[in-house]
Amino acid sequence: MFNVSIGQYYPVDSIIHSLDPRLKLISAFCFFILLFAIPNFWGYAVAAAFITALVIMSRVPLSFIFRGLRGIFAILVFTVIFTIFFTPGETALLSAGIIKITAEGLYMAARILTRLTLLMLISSELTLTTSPIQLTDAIEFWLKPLKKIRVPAHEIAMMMTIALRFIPVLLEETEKIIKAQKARGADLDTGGLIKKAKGLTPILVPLFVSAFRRADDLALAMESRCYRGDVGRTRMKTLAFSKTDYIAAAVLAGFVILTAATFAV
Amino acid sequence: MAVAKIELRNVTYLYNPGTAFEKRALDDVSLKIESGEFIGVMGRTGSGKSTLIQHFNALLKPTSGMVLIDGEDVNADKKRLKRARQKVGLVFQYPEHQLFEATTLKDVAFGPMNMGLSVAEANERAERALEMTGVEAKYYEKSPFELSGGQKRRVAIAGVLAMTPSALVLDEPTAGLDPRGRDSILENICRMHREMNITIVFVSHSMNEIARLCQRVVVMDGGRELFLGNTREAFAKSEILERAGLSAPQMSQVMRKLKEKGMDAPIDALTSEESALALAPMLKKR
Repeated sequence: MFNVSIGQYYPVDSIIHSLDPRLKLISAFCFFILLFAIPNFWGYAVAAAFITALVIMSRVPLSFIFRGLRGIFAILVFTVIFTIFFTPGETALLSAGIIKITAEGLYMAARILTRLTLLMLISSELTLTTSPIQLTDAIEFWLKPLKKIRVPAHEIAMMMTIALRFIPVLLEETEKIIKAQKARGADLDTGGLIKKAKGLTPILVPLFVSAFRRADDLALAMESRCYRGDVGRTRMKTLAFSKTDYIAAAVLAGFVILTAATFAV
Repeated sequence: MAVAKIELRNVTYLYNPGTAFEKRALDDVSLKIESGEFIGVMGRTGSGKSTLIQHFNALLKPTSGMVLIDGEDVNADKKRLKRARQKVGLVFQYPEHQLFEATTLKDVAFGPMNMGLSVAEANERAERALEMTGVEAKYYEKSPFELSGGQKRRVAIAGVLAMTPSALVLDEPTAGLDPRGRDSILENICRMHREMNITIVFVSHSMNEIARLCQRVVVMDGGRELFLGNTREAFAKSEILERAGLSAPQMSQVMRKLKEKGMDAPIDALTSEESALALAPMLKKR
């Protein structure tokens, strides 16, 4: 029941894994914007080729990548069907009453399908090759400029790190509490929805209590190590651009230019 | 009250079978716990103690092998499973982390209520259990979260005891308590064993506690049962303890040292009283 792989980081040794997380994050971000700007199929072809290359280089098994796709499968199908039937257009291919399928509709649907699939692939490529901790480091870096307008970049990153760090702990705790209540005869599997919901109280209350207790302990531990936020804080692992990162950045820039060039086709 | 007999036959348990994370937590364990005995379970962290005791009340289902309680296969059907959970009460480590109700009494009555008893009956059982574990009546209507650490633990143990199990499995019931709280919880456990005549399975890291309380012990190591037998025998055989990564109780260590110095000290003595009685005549002779 609790075999959820959060952040779905897939730890193998590859070029993509070793890239600077800041580069990966900003690349993914550029990619998102680009995907929405692409006006024709040539652009999508270039983008798809680029992502395929990324997937191969990252050495993450395809089954793992498509497991992520499965999660948004329902949304994909729904969106596509919706677009096919409800896009207004002149060239009707088929019409029966209010239901009308147009060439424009089909074109739109194909575009949305490609766009969403590519979006999904690029974001899972990011999370599969970047550990959650690296990712939060990168987020902190890119949020830094926003500090000028009082966005607490460091605090946000710290909160994310702590939250990610405690997911497995809380899952373990939940399992333990479930077992303890089962040992007291709690029946969690049978009964209607209301009975099941009521059955959650003996699990949720201890879980919340323990989460608060852990939070308290952690706060105390951080304070006794003189944690006082961002100011004057140094890092154990400083992110630094390597040669590969510069090459990757150049490749990325080349790709952006190439895609932009297809806009004119 | 019938007294439960727990039997394991060739129980093997794998975590995450068939995946890269497969781990053999129990490896072909067979043992019998007799009715009414006070048996200890020891072994270092990761030796399979926790996995073992979770089989006693069918929280875990063996990958292969069988668990019998009073001769019944507990995993045969849902009814037997439920009965096993009632017959064998399991108190987890830090049981106070499972408290959730608004009042102490209600929390303890949770188990009996799950058994399908009326509120009055459940409350009656809860009160009896609280009395047995030494929680005073003035705390019954208080929130369990307001109690002290030791009191919370008593309430949590009472929560299991209120299901009137015929065997009680306790996983390190004294962990994290001060010496006074420890002693009084141990005393309560002994009292349950004596007065309610229930089987006690006692998991502990403290060799001294095991030496003082248990008639027999199971020593676990790497998912296997290294030794099952008399406590006295286990502590006298230093090689067993060493292999299991445990150290003998203080008393055995002192006695062994005395023997090395040429004194006829009883190396199988388990408590200070016992060794004192054996040593006194020798000292008088001098």
